[in-house]
Amino acid sequence: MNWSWIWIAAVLAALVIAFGVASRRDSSSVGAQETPSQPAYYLKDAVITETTPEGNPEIRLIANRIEQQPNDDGIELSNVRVDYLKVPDKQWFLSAQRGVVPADSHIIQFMGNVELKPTDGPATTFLRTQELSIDSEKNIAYTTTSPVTIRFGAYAMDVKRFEADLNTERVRMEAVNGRTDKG
Amino acid sequence: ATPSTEGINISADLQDSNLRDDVHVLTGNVRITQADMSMEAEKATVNGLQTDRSRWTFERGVHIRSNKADLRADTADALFASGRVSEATVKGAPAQFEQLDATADKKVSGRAKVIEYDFGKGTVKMTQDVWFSYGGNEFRGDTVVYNLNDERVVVNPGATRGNGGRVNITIKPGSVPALPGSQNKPPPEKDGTAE
Repeated sequence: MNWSWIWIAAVLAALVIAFGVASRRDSSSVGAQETPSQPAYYLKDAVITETTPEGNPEIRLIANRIEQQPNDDGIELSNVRVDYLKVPDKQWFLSAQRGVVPADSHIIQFMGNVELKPTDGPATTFLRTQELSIDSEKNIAYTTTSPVTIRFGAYAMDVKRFEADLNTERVRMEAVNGRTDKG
Repeated sequence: ATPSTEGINISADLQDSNLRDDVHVLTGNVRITQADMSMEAEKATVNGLQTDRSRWTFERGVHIRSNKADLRADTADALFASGRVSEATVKGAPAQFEQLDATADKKVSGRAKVIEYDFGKGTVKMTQDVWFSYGGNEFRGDTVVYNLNDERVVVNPGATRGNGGRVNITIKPGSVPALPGSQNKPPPEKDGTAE
């Protein structure tokens, strides 16, 4: 699975927008040259869902704003939430302030108050970090900075690195230091 | 020992967790502490970390220590309930026990294949090839139960004449056979309590 579906959905939306902009361009072309480089296109309050061939949702991506950067064709998402629904009983929620999908990459990077948790785990099971990447081909989520805080029930763990297999819900952590609150 | 309300601390080089089954394997310098209790090993497997009752299995270089006892073994199983460790069973070839706050002349130590330590009651139960020493006096038997709080020793509890293992006691020369727990002299019990 790769994230090209974001592009397809976004490009289709962009075409519609672009057509509208072009038809009004003649009347406002005088000031076009001085405006700062604008995103090639952007979407607001976008909900993009990738489905299986049978139409079942696999990944739902919700963002306040999706922009394609003209300089590097990358895509930037603001206030992004990802519902990872691929494996029926192993689903995940992810939320972050920002997400970036570099051009031609199957790695999506999330930054800013990133939280990842299994949907059906206890409410007290989650990961919090400032940066996290998802390899959409291997379906692996991994952190790229530390510390990372992970909560397992009563245990709050600080770890140096975290890697989660989103298909199997197996998680690997390095340099673990955890504690429970006082009894 | 009064059960601790301190938090439990965990550290390890690596942790592999299966969130679905709530099974977590910690490897490399595994150390669990709570107040003055500590448990160390090369590997620990935890079932139910996300619940209020978790079962821990420690392997390789197991060292358990509280304010009263020191245990060394090959493996250990421990139960954590309601935020504190309640019991631990260690096994070794043999597993070793030593009382930490015993006075010099009453050095207490023991060896056995299996040693069960009840943190709440403060009792240590040794079974299978038991050797137990108290102030130089030695006991051998199938089972020895020692109370860290009142220093009472019960050897082969439950055994009756003819159906229990033999008890061997070696009194150190020149020592008044002031066996553990002899200050108060309850009536001798049928199960061979050393008084």
